[in-house]
Amino acid sequence: MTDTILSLENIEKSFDGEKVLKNISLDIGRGEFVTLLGSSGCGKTTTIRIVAGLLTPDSGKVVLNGKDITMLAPEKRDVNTVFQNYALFPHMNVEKNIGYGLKLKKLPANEIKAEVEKALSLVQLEGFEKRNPSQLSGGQKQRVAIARAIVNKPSVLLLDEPLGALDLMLRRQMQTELKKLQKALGITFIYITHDQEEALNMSSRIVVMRNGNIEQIGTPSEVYDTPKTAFVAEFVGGANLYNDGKRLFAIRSEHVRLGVGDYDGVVVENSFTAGLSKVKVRLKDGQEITSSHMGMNINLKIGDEISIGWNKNDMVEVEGEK
Amino acid sequence: MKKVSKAAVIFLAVITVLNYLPIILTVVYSFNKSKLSSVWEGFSLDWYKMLLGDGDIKKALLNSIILAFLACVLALIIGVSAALAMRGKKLFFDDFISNFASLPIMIPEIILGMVFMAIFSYMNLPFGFVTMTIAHASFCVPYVFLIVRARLMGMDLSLEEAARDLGASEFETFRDVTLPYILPGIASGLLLSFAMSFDDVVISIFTTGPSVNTLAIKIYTKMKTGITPEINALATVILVITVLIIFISEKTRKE
Amino acid sequence: MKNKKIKEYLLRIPIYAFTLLFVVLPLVYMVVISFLTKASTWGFDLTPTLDNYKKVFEPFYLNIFLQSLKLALASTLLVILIGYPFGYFMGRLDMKWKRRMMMLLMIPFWTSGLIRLNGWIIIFRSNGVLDKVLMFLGITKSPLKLLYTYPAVLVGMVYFLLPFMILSVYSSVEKMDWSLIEASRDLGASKMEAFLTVTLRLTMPGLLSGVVLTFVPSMGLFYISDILGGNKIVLIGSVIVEQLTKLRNIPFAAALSVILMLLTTLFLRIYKRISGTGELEGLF
Repeated sequence: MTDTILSLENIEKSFDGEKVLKNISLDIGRGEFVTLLGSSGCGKTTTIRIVAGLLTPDSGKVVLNGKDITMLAPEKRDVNTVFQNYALFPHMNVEKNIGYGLKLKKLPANEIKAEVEKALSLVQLEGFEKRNPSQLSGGQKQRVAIARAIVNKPSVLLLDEPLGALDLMLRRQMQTELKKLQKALGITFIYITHDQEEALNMSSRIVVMRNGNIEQIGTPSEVYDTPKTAFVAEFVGGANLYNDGKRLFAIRSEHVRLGVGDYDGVVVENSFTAGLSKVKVRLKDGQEITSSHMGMNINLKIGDEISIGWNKNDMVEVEGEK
Repeated sequence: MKKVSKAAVIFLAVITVLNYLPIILTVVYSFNKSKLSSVWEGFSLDWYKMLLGDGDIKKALLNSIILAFLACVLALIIGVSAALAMRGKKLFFDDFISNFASLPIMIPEIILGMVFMAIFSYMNLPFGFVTMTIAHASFCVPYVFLIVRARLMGMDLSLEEAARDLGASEFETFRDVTLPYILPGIASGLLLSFAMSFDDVVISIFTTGPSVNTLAIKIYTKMKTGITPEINALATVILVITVLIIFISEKTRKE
Repeated sequence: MKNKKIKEYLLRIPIYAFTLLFVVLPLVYMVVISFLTKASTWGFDLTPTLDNYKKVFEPFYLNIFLQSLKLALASTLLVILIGYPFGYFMGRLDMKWKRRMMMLLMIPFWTSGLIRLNGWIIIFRSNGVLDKVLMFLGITKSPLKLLYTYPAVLVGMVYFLLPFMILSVYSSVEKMDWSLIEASRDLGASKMEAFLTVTLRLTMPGLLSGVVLTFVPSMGLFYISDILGGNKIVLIGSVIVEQLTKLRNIPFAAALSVILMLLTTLFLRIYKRISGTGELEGLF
């Protein structure tokens, strides 16, 4: 990477003797939208808390803009966070919440006001200056939390599952907005989520984490199409895992043909949701493979015998166990 | 869904009326011309005039206010610092200390009074403001400590982290986020402390010195010797002040 | 990081110092002197003795203990009977009335107990308000002379302690999830069964802490019996005061206090055991 803004070098962290981060190294480029993806307990939140300075690592280094900031206090870092539960100050109105960081930097009041208004229009909340956090909806709180962070123009913005508490429709909408916002501001985003769809939609790169390790780093299509490990294949792409006796392969369900092929089995599940039908087949050797395709359900009953197959080039060899 | 039956409403009303009856009678009889509270001889402000002219009462009132203020200051310092300290990791003796610190509001006051009288005379402390302030602080500290601690326990840690993240130092975070958050708790703890100290009879009797009389002690001794209409007038004045304070605190809480 | 540790130690100094010096030490001192001998004038000699405790168990004092206990139990029972339904019904009112009732409760709660007792003297005294009303209604023919009797003291106690019970029951009713009662009704419980199996169980913490807040102070509230009971109703609190101020028998007063203290801690222990927490509902 030519223009690295943030590097994590061999970060380790334990809580009460339990290792939550095992030797994490990661370089993030200027203007990237990087997503840390993993289920809860994988260490993604711990990682960004270390970047924010809210935790210090047991060993390893955090380098921001070429400077070692590992032991620097959080307030001295050029990094801001959008917290999971928003963490809006209940005793300050929207304007004061957003202007808080600037006020600490001793900016004159009129400048603060102008910046706050700019930030509010960026998150489309013009006219909400005097509202109290308690008078806002979840989506509005989220926007205020984002405005409060970006108004400080940090080098890196950390977002800890910012859309986790919103309903599906609003989430989709906010995903697009966040993506636009990131492009417009040119700030590096580090985004945390456990939702692979969100990660695939928004990121320029995805870091898949599991048990305190990085499983794979890559662009959404790299991670989706060529998973390195069985975990990534299943977690990100929902792919089938097939063991040919020697090696383990990932096969995406949309690549599995029904009716023709070299593998015989029995239908064990058959579902149709949102325009997508899924058929799960148990092969003779006991392995289960799911096939999915758009459109109406084929007339198949549970217990029907069927042959399935796939192209050899759709098989991606992966590490790990099934 | 939640419907209240007629019987329940009547019950609430009757108990509330009974709750107020003694208070209302006190107010009514404070305007009674007669020296005997059993007969009504007509309206008069004599007892209020008498109250205004009573130097002893004024002095006792001043003493009560000074004492409650001093006890509140001590409770504020001790209670708030303790609540803040014990929020993080617990030390070995923290439970022991917080249990004993809360004991004064758990045990009958008479024990506390007895104990303070004995230990203060053993320590050779001069009985008066010093001994009374310590004794009153002993039951004011737990109010402030427990209320502020409960409020801190309900506080979202990420609020403080957000402040640090936005560039606030540890002190600025305390000033801008933590303090405003616990302020209502501090206020209600102090209000409760002030009221308890102001009303206290038992512990005061045991720890007072020859020269210090509080309003509560004064009222108590007067009531023991039989009721005087002057007490009714005094009670009415205190009542009016109490109602005003409650109204003001309700108003400010709404905002 | 290190700074933070030092700060946390410094913040502990006030409470540690104050509690050790003015709560723990005095209580230890009380226990110690309860085992010493009364000096002929004021104070005590360092001769260890069990006499003070033997004296507590003399029929005269034992009787007073029992009488105090009986009064405390009777007051607590009455407070439960009035305070629990009050707090419960209050919790079922709509928001507007809840606020109003709260205000109505707060005024007496914040008013000095002495001042509120004053009104009862007006009511109870011979030829007082109650006598007048009763005689006017023709229920009694002559003044009842209720002041300085046991019922007067009981009324005073209940009146004094009722707000504590109401507030703690109310706060646990407030926290209750009403849909649980609907669920139990839906599952076939009658109104009464739903109350006994769900409501009562869920408001138990409030009821129990109300009991603590009523029972514990009632053991030592000597001035209510002093004012409304005159010299006729002698309670343990009054004995301690008398021993301390008039007879100057500090060791014996200490022994009485130790016993009273043991009774209350025993009571608090039981409360803790039943409720599972030491926190008192409604206040903190």
